[in-house]
This record gives sequence, structure tokens and C-alpha cells, in this order.
Amino acid sequence: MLNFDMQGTERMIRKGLQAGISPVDIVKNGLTPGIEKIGDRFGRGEAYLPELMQAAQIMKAGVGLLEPMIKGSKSMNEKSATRILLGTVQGDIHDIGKNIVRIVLETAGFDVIDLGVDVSVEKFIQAVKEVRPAVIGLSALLTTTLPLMGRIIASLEHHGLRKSVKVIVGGSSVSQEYADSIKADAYGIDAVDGLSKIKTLIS
Amino acid sequence: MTIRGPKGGILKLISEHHVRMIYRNALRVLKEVGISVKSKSLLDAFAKAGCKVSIKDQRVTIARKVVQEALEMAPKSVVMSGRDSEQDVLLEDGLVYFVLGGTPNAHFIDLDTGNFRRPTLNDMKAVTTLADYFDTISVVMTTAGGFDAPEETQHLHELATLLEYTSKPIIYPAPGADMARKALRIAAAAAGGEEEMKKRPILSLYAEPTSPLSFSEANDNMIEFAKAGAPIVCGPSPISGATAPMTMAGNATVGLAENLASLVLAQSVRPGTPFVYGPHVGVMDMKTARFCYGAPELHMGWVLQAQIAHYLGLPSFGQGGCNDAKCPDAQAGAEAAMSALLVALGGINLIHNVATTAMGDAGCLEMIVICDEILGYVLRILREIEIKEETLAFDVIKKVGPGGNFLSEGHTFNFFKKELYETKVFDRTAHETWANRGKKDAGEVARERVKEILKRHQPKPLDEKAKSKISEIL
Repeated sequence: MLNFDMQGTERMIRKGLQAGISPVDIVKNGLTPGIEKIGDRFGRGEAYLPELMQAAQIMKAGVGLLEPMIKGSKSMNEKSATRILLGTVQGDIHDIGKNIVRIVLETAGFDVIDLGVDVSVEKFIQAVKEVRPAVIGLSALLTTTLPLMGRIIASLEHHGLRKSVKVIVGGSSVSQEYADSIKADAYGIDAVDGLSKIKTLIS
Repeated sequence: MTIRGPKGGILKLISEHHVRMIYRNALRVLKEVGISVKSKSLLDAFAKAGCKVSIKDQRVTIARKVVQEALEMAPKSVVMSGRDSEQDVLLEDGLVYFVLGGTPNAHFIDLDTGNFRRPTLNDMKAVTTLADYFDTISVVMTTAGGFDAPEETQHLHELATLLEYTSKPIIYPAPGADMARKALRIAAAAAGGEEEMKKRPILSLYAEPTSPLSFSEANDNMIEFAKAGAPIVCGPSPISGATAPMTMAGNATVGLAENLASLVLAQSVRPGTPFVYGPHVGVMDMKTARFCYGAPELHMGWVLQAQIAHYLGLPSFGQGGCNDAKCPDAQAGAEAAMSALLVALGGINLIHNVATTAMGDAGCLEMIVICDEILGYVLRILREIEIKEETLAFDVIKKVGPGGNFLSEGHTFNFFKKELYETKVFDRTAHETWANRGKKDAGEVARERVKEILKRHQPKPLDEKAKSKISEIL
């Protein structure tokens, strides 16, 4: 994993299985510490984004290989992980920034549900009702779509959902000032800052 | 009278054979991959243009023949008009002009405190007034924004401010058909009516398909501007490794394909629509995931785009004079200078984002003044070196002879102003003089000049009738 070597990682997984190491053990003590290390290095500005992405691909492939062997568990950390709902607000179809946030959060062990781009207020509310996330992350690149963020927060209040979730906003046109003005709980300057803010929000 | 800029286009980074390879690659993308089109009006327009349209998949593929017909219909040279016709500029192969800023910035660096804050319409007035004042700036976008205007009509208030505070040609975004129609009405009011606007469109559209290869209802604005006969500047932002392949040739292919699709659209709506080729070759910092404005690869990319535009025979739009710094410091100056010079040597017609600071995030008044100086250097460098009997100066060499000096010669007096660029901000005094004058750096000198120019410069006023018509539309 630390060499960003997909085939090498798969080879080592098979070797481990042959040696009798349990699949759960391989995920918990092999793959997970690896990706966390890369996530930390990225957070410190020591690793590059394409490296983080490659590590996430390796993690996904490794878990994909092992999952069928783990009885009765669809996703190993589903129950324990904090759930985060992400989306780019309506009128905006920019998704790169949000996708980076998703990978960084997943790397840190969060259960992320990504609603994609151009997500309407109604769709956000519906999803909050259905999946009951601890945190919602709203993204916008265009200044013209900023007002949607305020509307989503107002609508959460209107539906009596505001107290049940923390809201973090981000994207290049967002600022701390703006986050305060719409009563968001936090503003993430970038993916790494977003991760540390989310950790604070749920602690 | 139409202004003719100095000629760039002397710097080439790839061979014409390689330009053709990128062009053929883009044609292959349009034919085999196609573009995603999430707009009914655009799908209809592409169908009308002879493209293969799948309504179900919202996918459009375009054959080489359709692209080539569109290229034939597009004008090779375009005049961008100002409210004042003396400010009109001719976009033609290699002629270089600079454009203040780009689309509105989310932040503004306060002149007095240096702090980042939201820009207001007052900041729009200030940056537009400076752009109007400096001769090095020929066309105006913005480095501010009107965040104090009503959210839904922010772009329109910004446009109204631009039209009021400069008489130079304006390029501005107006996403969606409705916004585009309103922007055109506002521009027509300032131009003196719809007919006048048709003859001399004083507003050009900044259109932005979303990379990679995606068009949405926001891009319906191209239909409206094509109908109105106003120029369309197409500036999508494929970012290497993010919204485009990591390699420069791959990135250029995506931007070219997006521009060719937009060109087909514009020419099908109205043949002869003035169309300016302008894809970014975006660069992202792979540690911070931020879009860079001062990266060397970006400037190389624009030289490449200038070569592609030349090959296509289309006027071009690019970027220079911008920076990634957070204050007007050494980084800001170096990045602004390198980009402006390289891209001008490449021969991009409209070099925008002049004075845009902090990776496209902020406007900075001092940087407009510092960029005026940088652009002064660049425009000087672009000026042709005259070789003729008078400049070869044999007579005066003979007259002075070995060991003399040329200082009191009429030849020196006649030529020195023409030959030498005179600095306005950058310091050329002795260090003692500099110390006696308060040891000011370029940023501080620029700050003083900003205040002085804003106090004194009055842009050519917009008549009251036009103003009240614009407020009505707003």
C-alpha cells in the first residue's frame, strides 16, 4: 500500500490468506493502517493527491477481494462509523472538490454517502430523513449557487432536523464569514481542514 | 478608430505537425466520445447543426465535416467594441491586448488593511476605474464582485457597474438564457439601443462549458449571444489530472474539443457569430488541490493554445498577469510578469486575468498598478525593432567618432523617448534617494498610486437616459 502498488498489495493479501491470517485481520491490521498513514501524510502536505487516490483504489480492491470471505458482513465498519452526507448544491455541477473531500473522509474511516452534484434542497432533506447522518457537507464552487446553502440550512430548521445534524460548508467561493452568516456549524478551507473540523464537530 | 495591438506570436513550443495531431485527436473525441448536453435548447441546436444527438443519453457526437463547416463560417478577425468607439480593438492573428481580471472573485484584498474580505459594488467601481485609466488595459472583466447586490441579480449589477465605469470593451459571464437576455438588454441600453448594440456589440459573453466535455442549461447563454450577434469567448477550464488528462497534450485536446463543440453551436444559431477560442490549460497543485494561476505549465499551455488558435484561424483568449500570492509581494510580481510576457510572446489576442491574485480567489488594487508596469514592459518588448537608415545611425556615429559621447546629439534627443520605456512604479533611483524618500517597496508605491488615480480619474460618463433604463431592467 505504501508503495502504491496494486498488484503487490493483492499478492500480499493472497500470501496472508495462504498463511492463515483471517480476512478481517488483513483489513484491520494490514490495509487500514496503510491507508491511514497515507491519509496522515497527505494531511501534513507530504503526500500528493494522486497518491491518496491510488491508495484509496488499492483499499477498495483489497476490501473487494476479502469481503466475500467475511461472513455476514456487508461492510465491516458500517455500524460503528460516523455517517456523513455530502453533495454539491443545486445549480452547480462541479464535483472534483467534493470528491476529494469524500476520499479524505473515507480514508479516515467515515461512512460517506455522496449525493453527487446539482442536489436540490428537497433531495438533501429527503436524504437526511432517510440516512440520518451525523454531519452534512455542502459544496459550491460558483458564487451564484451559494444562496442554496443557506436555503438548505433553513429547510433543515423548517423540518425540525437542524438539531440532529451538524452542517459543514466548503468550496472556493465559501468563506468563514459566509458560513457564519447562514449559521453553518463549520467551514472547511480544504479537504484536510474539513476532516479536522468534522472530527471536532462530532467529538 | 479601432486600436491595433502589437504583434506577438513569435514564440512556438510545438511544431505545426504536433498542433495537427492535437486537432485530429480532438475531432476523434468529438466523434467517438462526444459531449454530454443537459439542456433541451442546446440539444435542439446541436441537432440542427447536423450533429448526432441522443436525447435519451443526452449525448452529442460531432463529425469532422460539421466542425470544418463551422470553422469556415467563423470570422477570422473580430472587433470588440467599447462604449467609446475610440476604444474598439481588432482581434486578429497575433495582435495582443490585455484584459483586467476575469469572472468575479470571491474575495478582495482590502487596500488599507491587507485583509481578505467579500468584494462589493464599490470595489467593482474602483477596479473598473483603474482599468479604464490604464492604457495597457484594453478590455475589461473584473477582479472584484458585487456581493452586496441582490444574490439573484449579482452578475447584472456587476455588469451595470462595468458599463458605467469604463468605456472600453467588456467581456462578462451571464449563465443561462434568461440572465444572458437581461445582460444583452442592459448592454443595449448603454450602447444606445438594440440596433446600435447589433452594429457595435459592447458586451461579449464569457461562456464556460464544464470540463470534461459537459454542457448544461447555463450554456444556453451562447444561443442568446449568437442570436444577438455579440461575440462569444469560450473559456472552459480543463484541469490536468482532475477534469482533464494529466498531460498537456491531453488537456489541450479536451479544451479544444469543448471549444469546437461550442463553435459548432454558435455558428449553427447564426453563421458568422464572432467566436473567440479560449480554453484554459488548468493546473492543480497536487498537495493542496488548488487551481494555480502562476504555474509555469499554465503559461506554456497558453502558448500551445495560441498555436492551436492560429492553426484554426480563430481569435484567441488566454491568461497572464495573474498570480498565486496572497499579497502584492515578490511572488505576485514574478508570476504576473512571467505569465504576461510568455503568453504575449505566444500571441494570444486577449490576455485576461491581469491582476487576479491568490489563485483566482481575490482582487487586489495594488496589483492592477503593478501589472500596468509589467504590461508596459511587455508591450515594449513586443514592439518591433526598427531597422532603417535613421535607426542604424551611421551619420551620428561618424559625427561623434571614436571616444566621444552621444548625450547631446539631436539623434539621442529625437529617439530616447521612443526607444526607452519609462517606469512608473519600479524604482531606478540611487539607494540613498530611495532611502530619503522613505524606503518604499513597489507595493507601497502602488498603494499610493491607487489612491491618487481613484481621486482624479473620471471615466467617460454614461448618459442619464441609459442609466435610468438600466436601473429599470435591474
